[in-house]
Amino acid sequence: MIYLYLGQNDLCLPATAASVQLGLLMSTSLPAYEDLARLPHFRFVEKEDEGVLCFMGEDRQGNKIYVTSVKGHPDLFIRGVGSLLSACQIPLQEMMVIPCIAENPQVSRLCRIITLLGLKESATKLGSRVARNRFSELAATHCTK
Amino acid sequence: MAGKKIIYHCYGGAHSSVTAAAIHLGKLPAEKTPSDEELMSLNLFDRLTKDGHGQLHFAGVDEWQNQIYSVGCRNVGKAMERLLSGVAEMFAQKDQLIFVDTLHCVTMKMRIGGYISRQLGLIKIGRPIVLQGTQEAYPQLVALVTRIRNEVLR
Repeated sequence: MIYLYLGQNDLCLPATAASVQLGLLMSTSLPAYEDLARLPHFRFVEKEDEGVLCFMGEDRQGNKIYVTSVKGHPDLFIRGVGSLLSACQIPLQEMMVIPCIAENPQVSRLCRIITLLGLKESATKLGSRVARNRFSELAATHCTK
Repeated sequence: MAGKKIIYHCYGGAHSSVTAAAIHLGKLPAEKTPSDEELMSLNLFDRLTKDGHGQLHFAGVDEWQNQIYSVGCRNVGKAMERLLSGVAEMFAQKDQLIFVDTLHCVTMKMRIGGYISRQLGLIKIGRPIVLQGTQEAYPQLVALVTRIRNEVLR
């Protein structure tokens, strides 16, 4: 099975949730800022990155884990993937799209602006904060799958 | 190159992509501009709502057994193309997909009429404007579809 964690404007939340599934982060303890910043693909996306699938790894069951991020309308992408699978006659159970959206998308937009200004480190720190704030929820998303 | 999935996409999936898909399938004539009735005879023309955005709508199969779809991608068409291409690649089906953006054929009347009809829900006001806009954009849509059909045939 393929798991696709879908973020909006950032890959911070999807990368965090995916890392819990991959065992890179413990779901029971809040990760440190540095641990989050070191995760693969933990960053904010630029225009040409939107919709690009980034491979995170395989979990213990052999499921492939990907992350991606889009500018907006995540519902539209979920419908798009579902209908593409149907069109290609691929069972819908083959792939699960899991939205990992910040409660306030404006934070992600702010981080994007910070990134554009060349302050990538500050954006990553802010991203880590957002991921820590949402960590229990992101970990629960993985545990309840 | 038979058996591909050709996906015409635009903002709302209700006008230009639906019209292009119909031209591709020969449901609308390529040599003359269709009447209001001909356009309205298309199942999805000026009917799709935002709940249907992102959903691939099957329009039919062309003479080379290519499946033709239309879809509304709002302003994230490129990202949608990348995501769906990536997903198709995972299942070794990337070569089967051809995305065609019809947005550049859209006229101002189509934008205004489409917004009034689809976004505001004022169909009586918006529909005549979008119909007129589609008829004005028709030659461009025919040219786009002709190019795609020639590419697919090659």
